[in-house]
Amino acid sequence: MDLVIQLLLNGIVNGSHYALLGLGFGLIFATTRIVHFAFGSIFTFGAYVAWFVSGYMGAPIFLGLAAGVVVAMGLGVASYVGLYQPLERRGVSPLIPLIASLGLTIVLENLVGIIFGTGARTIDAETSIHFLGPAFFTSIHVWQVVSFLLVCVLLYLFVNYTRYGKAIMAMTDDPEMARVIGIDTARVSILVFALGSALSAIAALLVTLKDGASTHMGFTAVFMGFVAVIVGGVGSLRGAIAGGFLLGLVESLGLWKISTEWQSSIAFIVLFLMILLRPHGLFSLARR
Amino acid sequence: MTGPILETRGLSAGYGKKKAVQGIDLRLAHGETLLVLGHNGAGKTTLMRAIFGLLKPMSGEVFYDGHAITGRIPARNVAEGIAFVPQGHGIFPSLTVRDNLELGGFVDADTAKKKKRIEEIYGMFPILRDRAGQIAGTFSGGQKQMLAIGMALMHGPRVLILDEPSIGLAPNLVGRVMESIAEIKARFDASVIVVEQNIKYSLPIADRVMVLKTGGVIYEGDPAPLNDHARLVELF
Amino acid sequence: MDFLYHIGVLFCLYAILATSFNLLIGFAGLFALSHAALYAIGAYTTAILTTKLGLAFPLPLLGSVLFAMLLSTIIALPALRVNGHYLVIVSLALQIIVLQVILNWKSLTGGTDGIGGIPPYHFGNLVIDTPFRFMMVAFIALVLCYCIARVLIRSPFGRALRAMRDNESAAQAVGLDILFMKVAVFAISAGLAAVAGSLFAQYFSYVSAESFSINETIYILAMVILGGVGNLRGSVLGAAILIILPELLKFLPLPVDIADKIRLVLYGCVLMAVLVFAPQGLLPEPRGRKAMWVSPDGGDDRTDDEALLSSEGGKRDEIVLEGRNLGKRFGGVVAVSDFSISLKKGRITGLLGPNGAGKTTAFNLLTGFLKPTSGQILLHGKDIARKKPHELVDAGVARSFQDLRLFTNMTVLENVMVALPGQKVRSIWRLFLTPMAVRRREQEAMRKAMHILRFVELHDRAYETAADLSYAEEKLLVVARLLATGAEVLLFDEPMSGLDQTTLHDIFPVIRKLAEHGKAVCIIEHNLDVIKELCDEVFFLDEGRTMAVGKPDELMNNPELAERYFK
Repeated sequence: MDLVIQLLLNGIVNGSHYALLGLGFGLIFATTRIVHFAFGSIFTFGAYVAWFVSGYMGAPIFLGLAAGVVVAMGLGVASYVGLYQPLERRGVSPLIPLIASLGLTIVLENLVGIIFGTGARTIDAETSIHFLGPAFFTSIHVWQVVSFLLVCVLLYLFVNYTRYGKAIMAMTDDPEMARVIGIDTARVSILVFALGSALSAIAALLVTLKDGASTHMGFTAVFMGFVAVIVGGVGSLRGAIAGGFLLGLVESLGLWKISTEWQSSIAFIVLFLMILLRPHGLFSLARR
Repeated sequence: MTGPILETRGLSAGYGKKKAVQGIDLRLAHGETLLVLGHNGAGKTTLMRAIFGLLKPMSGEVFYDGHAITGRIPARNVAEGIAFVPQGHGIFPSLTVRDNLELGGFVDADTAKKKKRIEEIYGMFPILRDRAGQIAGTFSGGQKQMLAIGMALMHGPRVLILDEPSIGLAPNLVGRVMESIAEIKARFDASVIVVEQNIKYSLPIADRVMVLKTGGVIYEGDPAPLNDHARLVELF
Repeated sequence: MDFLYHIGVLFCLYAILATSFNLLIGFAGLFALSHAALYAIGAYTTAILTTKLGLAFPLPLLGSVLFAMLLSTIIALPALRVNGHYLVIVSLALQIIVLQVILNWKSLTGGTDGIGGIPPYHFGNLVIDTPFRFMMVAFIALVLCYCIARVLIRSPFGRALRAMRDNESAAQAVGLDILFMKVAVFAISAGLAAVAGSLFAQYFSYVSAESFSINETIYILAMVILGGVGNLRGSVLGAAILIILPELLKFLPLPVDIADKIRLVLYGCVLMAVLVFAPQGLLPEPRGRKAMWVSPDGGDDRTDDEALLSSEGGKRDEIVLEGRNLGKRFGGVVAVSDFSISLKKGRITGLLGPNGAGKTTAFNLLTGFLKPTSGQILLHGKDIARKKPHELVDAGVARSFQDLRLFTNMTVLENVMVALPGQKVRSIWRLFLTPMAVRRREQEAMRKAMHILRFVELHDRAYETAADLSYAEEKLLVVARLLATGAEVLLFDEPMSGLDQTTLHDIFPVIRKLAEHGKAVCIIEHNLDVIKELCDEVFFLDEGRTMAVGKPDELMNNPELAERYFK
């Protein structure tokens, strides 16, 4: 029983992380219909920049976060303007941007290695350990949950109460119609690439504080984001959040019965089953 | 006598290498209702998309109020007063009616003006007021079409282009939609292009008619002769 | 010198991988990015068979190939049901799962330690233990694999694959079994990748999971894209360039791990640059005459149209296909309700009605593209409501699409050939075992296709790519393709829309001739002239149900229907 409570707690913490990734990836995917696979390597980039500023140079954590966010946003916007937009203009099949983004992924991932060196990187931060009955959690865990909640509130306010937020909503619903009512869709795409990448950098910093960073972390990150989006239903940010938590809980509770080395396979199997059985996601019924 | 508010000269457009319309000269005078008729595949929609900027023309030019707007993105055309209601219910199906209307006025940042406009549109289509919080995708075809027209009016267009507003509607609703088009002209002082296959209801509101067939114009002028059944069958 | 031979070996391995990958993504259009996992399966199978069971050539190689094919078939059945983005993601997930299994099944695979001590090839007294000797072996393997791929793509099977890539639903509509083709090409591609894997194990005598990461898939992908998707020679060229180019980096004084990363950066850049600037790759897919395997044997031996349109007995006016009280709902929306129709041998039946009346849905029901919610569909009195579209084509019901759905990247002639009966190539082995018979049948098919093209007067455009046809020619090709299926019931969805008067009068006789030769023809049409000119009987549809049945004139003079039609 104690184990279950601990696993549940871990599931919620990991769920926040996955949900954050799902929000970032899903924002880009739902709005632009681009499977931005390089989201993962931008995430890695964000982590290493944050490490460089806060871990290596010793600056305060928030400076590391700011630097990571700025670099990630820059890379996100650059990947849209430099790679996806030219492809979109040529009217290529939607698969082509995905293939191109695989190329971008290995470029960025290896650039991280070249610039910052390989090997695990950690940031020393003061952490405190708290107990909840038989289970424990650290202050970083708390931060993961809190920052996720904060992002949710801000994103909710942005999407529902600002002009460009509504433009994002419109593009998600029907990109062609968005153009018809006079939305400059290229500009909105740039915006969501910036926003989504910023979210990835926040998640990246937090996970670096918790587990440290490695150059291969991006692949898992983008996959988890993608799985969260697919599980929740493409086009629904609420779905991405629910998908992220579901993934976190399933993965964590799975450890109850399955040995740890298989933990990372759980997500892929969930994805596999999800795409085959409910390709429109769990929450797709709420839409059209 | 001023020039036409909207004009195309030798406009050709299509998809891939193929032209769907070729060398079209279209003129829309101030305050006029132009009816564009034609079969499936005649090129009506392609022509309208090319005028509005959703599709890059292959050749030819588009003028709006005397200046060239050829190949401009729709966002700019909308901002300058051209509105387009696409075929098959131009709405956002998973948003509420109110959100849809607000998005219709996206190019206008002025919220007070938007509120006033929404009231005006509610006045024309009271059902939209009653159902303001409903998800638009759950509307019937006729309600969707009213909402789509309402959205297009949100930024106070000077030219309104409607692509087959009657498609999939029951006959009595088609009449209602056509009436509202006449009403819009009176209220908003707009010039209108209506693209239609449905002749019976659309002919009465037309000032002038243009019939397209296989990408070219085969009749242009007065609507009256088309009332003749025999003439119709000949053209179609 | 050994260094050059080593590069030669690598080139052979990657050329095999790129070629087999191109089969999948280039020719079949299936972006299943799990190639490195299949490569790994090939390598590990050989490693296990040689070290644990002590098997010697050719058993480990065969084992690798068969196991990879078997596994890929099992995987493919669920995975290939999804398309596009989802296939890419599912296959990437598969790649991860395979590697996880390899890493975690320590007793069999050695986990992170991998498997070492794999013995080299022994051919009699000859031990393949130098890079040069191995290069020769690998080269022979490459030639064999390349030939297998080449025979495949130039066979009817390859043509069917390209048709499927261009338009899946149209491929079904001409009678191709999409699922079989997908699974078959995936298995073959896996088998060839396993050859490379087996060679890898025997060359390095050591395998570990590191060599088969996702980066490896992207690396092979870059080779295919650089060389040209849909061009086999391109894949070999792409492999050569991307193997040799990074070797030049070795001349720069760089630390090993940095050089390795720069190599990967280079691949990524090549991949992106090709997609943005030269999407066709270095060697574009062959088009027109170049894409054809057999050439026409010149002889203009004109058989008569009777033979072409032969129909097996039955009386004119006999009911061939019948729909009874068909209903179809999508969610809560009723698209068709209580729709009944009967199509008679030798007659042209029109389906008339305003937009949104449910005509196309009716077609989809009759041809198996949609399953009716209620009602019966009878072909010669037998219920066929459960059959899949390609089975219905075999049974004798074929349809065209309103939006044409031609195989735009194939020649006009190929568009027709792929629709001929007997293009399914269920027994792929036959391509290799009896090549002459295949060739003969191919010649025959070509003659028949030419004949059909002559029938619709499109024969002088036979070697054009379908995308380059004019609108009217496209419509004729639709007719030709439908005719080629040999079906006795032909359903045309708006075959005349958008055609001018002169072209119309070119097509009329073609359709009339079809009926005269005993086909049951059904057309959806908006153009009243066409209906009057062609149809023997018209079904008037509105709001998803049959409103009236009668002679065209009767219907057109009915004021109520005219009211509905012109609304």
